[in-house]
Amino acid sequence: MLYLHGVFAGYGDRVVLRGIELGVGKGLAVVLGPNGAGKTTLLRVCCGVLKPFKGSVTVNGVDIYASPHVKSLVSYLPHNPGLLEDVTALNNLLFYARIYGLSEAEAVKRVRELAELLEAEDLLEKKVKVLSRGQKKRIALIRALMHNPQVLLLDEPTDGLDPLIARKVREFVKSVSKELCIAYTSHNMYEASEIAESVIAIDRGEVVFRGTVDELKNMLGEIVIGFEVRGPREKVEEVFKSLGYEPQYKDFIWIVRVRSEDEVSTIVSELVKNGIKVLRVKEAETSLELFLERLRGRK
Amino acid sequence: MRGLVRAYIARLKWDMKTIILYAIGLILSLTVVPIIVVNIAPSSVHFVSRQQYEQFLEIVKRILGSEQEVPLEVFGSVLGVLNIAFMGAIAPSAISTITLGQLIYRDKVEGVFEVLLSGPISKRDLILALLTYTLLTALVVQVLVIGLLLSLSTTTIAVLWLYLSVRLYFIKLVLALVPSVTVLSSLLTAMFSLPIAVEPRRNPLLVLPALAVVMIYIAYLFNPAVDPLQLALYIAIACVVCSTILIALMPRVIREEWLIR
Repeated sequence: MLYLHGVFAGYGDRVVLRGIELGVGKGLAVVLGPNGAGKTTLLRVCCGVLKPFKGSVTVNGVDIYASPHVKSLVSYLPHNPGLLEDVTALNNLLFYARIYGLSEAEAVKRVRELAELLEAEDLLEKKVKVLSRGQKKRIALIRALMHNPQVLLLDEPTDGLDPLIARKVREFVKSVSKELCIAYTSHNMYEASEIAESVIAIDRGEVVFRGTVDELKNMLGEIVIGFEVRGPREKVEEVFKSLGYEPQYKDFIWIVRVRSEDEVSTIVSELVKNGIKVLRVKEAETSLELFLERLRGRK
Repeated sequence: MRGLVRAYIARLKWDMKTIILYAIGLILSLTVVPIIVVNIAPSSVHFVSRQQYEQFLEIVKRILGSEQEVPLEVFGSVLGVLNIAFMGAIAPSAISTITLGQLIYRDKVEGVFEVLLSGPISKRDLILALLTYTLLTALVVQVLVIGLLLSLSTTTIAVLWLYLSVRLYFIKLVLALVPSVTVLSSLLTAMFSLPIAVEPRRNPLLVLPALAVVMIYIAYLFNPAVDPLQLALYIAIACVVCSTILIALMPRVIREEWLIR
């Protein structure tokens, strides 16, 4: 559906993507990479925002830079939601609907359907500037799906959201992934292994890994997870040790190495069972770095 | 392209309340603030003002084309009419340039342009839609401000006409000057706003609107006794030339990466 052929792209004289060859079909592909690896640039090139220096991008076989009308099939959710701050959420959506040639009645109907799915009905009449980051993301998701695209490009859609909202967004994206071709960037290995059907890892502007989640897990070996909890320190340590882990306590966060996300669920249940409140579970950055180090070493 | 222009016109309607508030602020700043400044200004400011006032008196005498003695307060009123017309057009233009520039810059930072460019539109379409939007916004502000100031001016002229049978020339002057300055300064506002918002430090387009101002000064240097009606014409020509060059160059000069963060 979406293909990149020998793409070199960047900003001014700075080359960010170096000869990317990639094809993404229906389903959810997570694009993994550390900050500055070229994830955002890759999405910008894919949606027609940033013309590559060299190479081409095709959707259903048509070059999007030669035939810009094909861009209607693609939808892009940038890191910032792309909403007009002084305008209500609904008017923002109508603003974008006009660009895709949707009539007002058609757009309102579609917006209401999506708002119901994303539990955002009560946000529509509010001005964007009063909405929280998570609420803005939900409105931006409605905007991205309003015109029924075939390709959905999401740039770190859960970054900066609280865990509950982030989970809702992930679940929603997963629920629509059967019908669409989705590329979802993240620097979170845990998130990738939780939702992805396939994984693409980018490092220094090059694709360094392409495979399934299982292949990723095998490559990964371990995931480093940070637990932010509220409870007596000795008790928390005891729970971790009873499950066979050797936890480290650093900056109020318990660091534990696990082999799969199933283990994370077990740990959380056990902590809760012992009366410890789990505030936050986050994959430590080191996992991705370790993974890339291994790939570089193998190369 | 049509959809995008329609979207931006709709946006103008949503922004109308802000625009009206902004126009009221401008009217107040153009009327109340100068009165306060004059009343609290130090004597040196009064001295400079007096000198300028006398220079303007000379110009007005030349316009009248006679050496007849006319009461100072009448000249003062004529001067006021002209000054208000110019100030009414140029000051809001400068302020709205900054405001519109900020608005466009905020859209850029919030990722609005990134989303728009990912849709079925080109960079050229986006730039032309932005120019339409800024031009319309500037015009609305200008018309609101000028409308009020023009009615003040017209009243003053009517009083003058009755009082001194001032030549029809003044009416022509104000009627010709005010609308042309309004429209043209709006055009300049729109032209300035976009380059200011998009990579101001690296944008060569910023130089071009400044040329319009330089051209007026050049015209004045070559012909210090320029007739104000002729000056209005020079302003018009300068603005049209610079705006045309800008419109032609803008889609080419502004790079994609300047529109995204």
